[in-house]
Amino acid sequence: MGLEISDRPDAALVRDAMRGQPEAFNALVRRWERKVYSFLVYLTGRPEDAFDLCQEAFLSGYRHLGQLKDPQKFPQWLFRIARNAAHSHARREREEETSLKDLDVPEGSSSLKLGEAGQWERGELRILVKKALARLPLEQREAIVLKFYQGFKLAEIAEIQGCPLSTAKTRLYSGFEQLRKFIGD
Amino acid sequence: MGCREWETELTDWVLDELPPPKAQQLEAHIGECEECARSAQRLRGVRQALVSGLPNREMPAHLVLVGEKPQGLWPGFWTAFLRTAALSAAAAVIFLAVASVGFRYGGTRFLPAAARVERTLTRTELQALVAQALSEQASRQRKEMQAATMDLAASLRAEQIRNMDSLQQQLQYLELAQNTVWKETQRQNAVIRLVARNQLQPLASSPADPSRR
Repeated sequence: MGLEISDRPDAALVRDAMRGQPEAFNALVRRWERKVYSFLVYLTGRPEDAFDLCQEAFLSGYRHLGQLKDPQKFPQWLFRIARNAAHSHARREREEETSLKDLDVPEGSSSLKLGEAGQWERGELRILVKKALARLPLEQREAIVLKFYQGFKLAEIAEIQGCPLSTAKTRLYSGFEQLRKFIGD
Repeated sequence: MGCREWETELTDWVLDELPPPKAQQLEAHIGECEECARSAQRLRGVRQALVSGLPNREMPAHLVLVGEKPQGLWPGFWTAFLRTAALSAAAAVIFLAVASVGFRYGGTRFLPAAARVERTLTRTELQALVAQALSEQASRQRKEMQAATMDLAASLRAEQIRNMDSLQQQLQYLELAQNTVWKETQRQNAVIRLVARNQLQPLASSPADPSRR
């Protein structure tokens, strides 16, 4: 007896979707939509834009699924599409001269030390991390989110960002170092 | 390796980028060296903060799914309608076949066996027995037919509801696609207006035409 469609691995669902079974792609959407949406929220800082971009990413993925050569690499491929959608969106916003200020951390504010407050409340920790991420350049922020939120390896991050491994490593390590200083030793 | 050498490997280790054999060596060293253990603890704290501070976000709604291969509104409706009609016709044919077999089967089952008759039945008695058996058989088959009809009606209703749901999903998908296209059109119009405005602005000061004196 075959597996339920919701239990089948990504690669099998991708192959089924390529053979014209829309319910297989639906299963992939259900499995990954929240991850991609969260990734886009952390990139853009705006949930409403993240939702539109998430829809756009999956629509684009559905249209171009035939171009995915290795179904095993569906997660990296999907995140790459989402990332590109976020970048296109950011470019369009800059062209329309829309302000993209998220969180302005006042100059001279002391970094909040992780150890000082003892056990952080979950909400406080999220605010702290959100402020810390907002200070990073976009590429470093991407690398950090891909590593700590989604758990991708360095090689996969390089693939998603479309850059050499050494560049991805620099972005990730520099970002981590910045965050370490901000969050505090 | 000394602490100085391990220091450069600590970040790799915290980021899960250290190969397993080296990771095991580093962990063994951390177990023996207080300074490296403190550094590892600090870096792990930052890592834990990032992992905890980046939870899954709640979505405002699920994404619109693909019900069928993207197709037009009317083709989708007629496809569903024809499918329902085909199912109904197939169910009717199967039911009629089962009912006719049942009649034939029932017609021979309840005739009294000649060997069980203890005395000779009169013609009238025989006719009454046959009529009673047929009546019971007809009643039983009427009930079976009613139950089968109700089952069929229920399954057709369920199929109809599924088709309507599918149709609704397709309409939602179409509406969302239209909204996306409209937004994109608005953005492009804004860019075109900006470009047009820049091109129509007169130059602040024109350089002197070098060909004229």
